[in-house]
This record gives sequence, C-alpha cells and structure tokens, in this order.
Amino acid sequence: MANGELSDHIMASIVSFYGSSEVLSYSSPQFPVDDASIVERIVKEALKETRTKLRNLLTWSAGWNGFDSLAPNPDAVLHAENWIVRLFLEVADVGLTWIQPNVIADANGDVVFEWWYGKKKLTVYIEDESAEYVQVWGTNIHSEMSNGDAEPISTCRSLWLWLVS
Amino acid sequence: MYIIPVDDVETLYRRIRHVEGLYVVQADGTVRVSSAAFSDPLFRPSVDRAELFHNDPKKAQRDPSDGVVSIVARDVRSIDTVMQNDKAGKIIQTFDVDIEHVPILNDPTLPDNPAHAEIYTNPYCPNKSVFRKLAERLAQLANERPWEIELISLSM
Repeated sequence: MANGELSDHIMASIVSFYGSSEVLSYSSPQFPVDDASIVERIVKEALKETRTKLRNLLTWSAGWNGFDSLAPNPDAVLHAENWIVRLFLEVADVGLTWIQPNVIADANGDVVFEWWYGKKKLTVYIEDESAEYVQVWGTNIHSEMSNGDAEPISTCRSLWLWLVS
Repeated sequence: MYIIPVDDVETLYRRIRHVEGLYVVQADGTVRVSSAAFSDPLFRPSVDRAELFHNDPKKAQRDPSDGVVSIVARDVRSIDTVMQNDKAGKIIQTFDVDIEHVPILNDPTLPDNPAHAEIYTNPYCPNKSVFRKLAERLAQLANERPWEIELISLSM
C-alpha cells in the first residue's frame, strides 16, 4: 500500500472509530510529529463543519439578524479560521477532547464561537485583529463572568482546561 | 405617540431570526438562544412590549419563521452587576440596566411599531467588553423561560 493510501486508511479508521471530535486526542502516538500533511488533513476533517459555517457568514448581508446588524466582517472571518485552528491544535496537544463550537456573528460583524459544558459557557469574539473571551459560570456578571484577551495561546489552553474540567 | 414607562411586571419579546447559530439545539431537544441574539451595534438591544401587543408574540415576528423569546422587565432591571474594570481589575464604573419605550412611527425604513423598546445601560455602555457580559445575562434570562414562539423545522 502506498504511503498516501495508508494515510487515508488510517485517517478513515480513526475518524470512524472515535469521531472527528476526538481524533486529535489519539493522534499523537499514531503519527510522526513532523508529518505536517497528515496533521493538516486531520485538522481539516475535524474542523470541516466549523469552517463551512464560517464561510457561510460571508454570504450574510447587513440586517441578517432581523435588526440593524452589520454584515460579518471578512477579515474577522479569516482571523476566526486561523484562531480556531490554533485552539484545536492546542487542545490536541494537551490531549483533551474537542467540542464543536456554535458559530455565529454578532451585530458588530464580529465572529462568535460558543461552547457549553455543564454549567460553564465559553464565548469567544473574533475581530479582525483581536479576540476576546467571556467565561460564564453563573448569573452574577461581576463575580461569575470574566473576560479578557483570547489571543495568547497560553490563554486558549487555560480557557479550554477550565471549560472541560 | 405617547411614551409610556415600562412597568416592572411587563414581559418583553425578543425576535429570533431562524438563523442557525442564533440558537442551539441541545442533546435533550431543548433550544438555547445564543448571547449573540442580544447583540446590538449601539448596545441597546430592541425588544417589544408584550402588553402593547395584547400579549400576542406573533406581533413581534417580522417573518413567520421567526421565533420569539421573552424576558421580564423586573429581571432586566435587577441586573446590578454590570461594571467596567481597569486593567488591574479595579472597578471604575457601575451601570444600571433599564428599558426605554422607543415607539417607531413613520421611520423611513422600519415598519411602525408602537411596542418597540430598548434595553440600555446608564451611564451609556462604553465598549463591547462591558456589553458582551450583559448580553450573556440577557440570554440567560431568555433561556430560563419557555419560548413564546418556537422556531419551526429545527434540524437536530
């Protein structure tokens, strides 16, 4: 079997057995670290739905929410595609389970990712050159919600650890 | 048209377009509204006063496919923890949350809506970061109540 076919076979087996959301949790021992193309294919497979939803945002016009929203900002969508890949790889690196995000825009044209896990919620707003998170674990805005810069990779890691712990 | 103060006991409708992502269908089949459903570029999300619509949420729809969620004015006004912090985390401003009756009449683009109102902060919300947490709380309040009009043909 040629290398390409072998990779396809392994990929298909892993995806069908574990589901795309967990592939990366099991990928580290399976593939050589330097095989970037295989990692890239896994990322593409796992984030296929998310990327499709992100690209769909580009077809929305102003007023898409039935109110006076701006159209999603194409630069924010591009940034969001890169950001979600970085987060996915970080989650894979620490061996945690991936959860598919809810994907939406907000009225300012920013991209919004949302995850719920039990009583915890993580929302990340992606603008063209920045990203901000809002952590929610209760109803009190001051003492049970927190926000900050979601660009640093160390923050992404901490946020995910918090979410799924 | 008269401006009528919003009473604490009033129900407020928020229209939810049938756009995937503004809502999430959970594993148990219940539907959760996203905090993005309360976003607004001027930090004043629109709602409709149920009382002025004779408690008919259909009047809040623009399209038959629209869903409608609701919140109660008292619960909105009870949000007393909207704050702005400096970089060190010190509180530099606190905000009240209120509802203002803003009827729409003879607008060049919008249909007349005598029940239209807006949720706002006092003082004026200074930035997205402050507003985003308020949007989370508004979505929580909506999610604590049954949908007034459920979205039709939801895909699981």
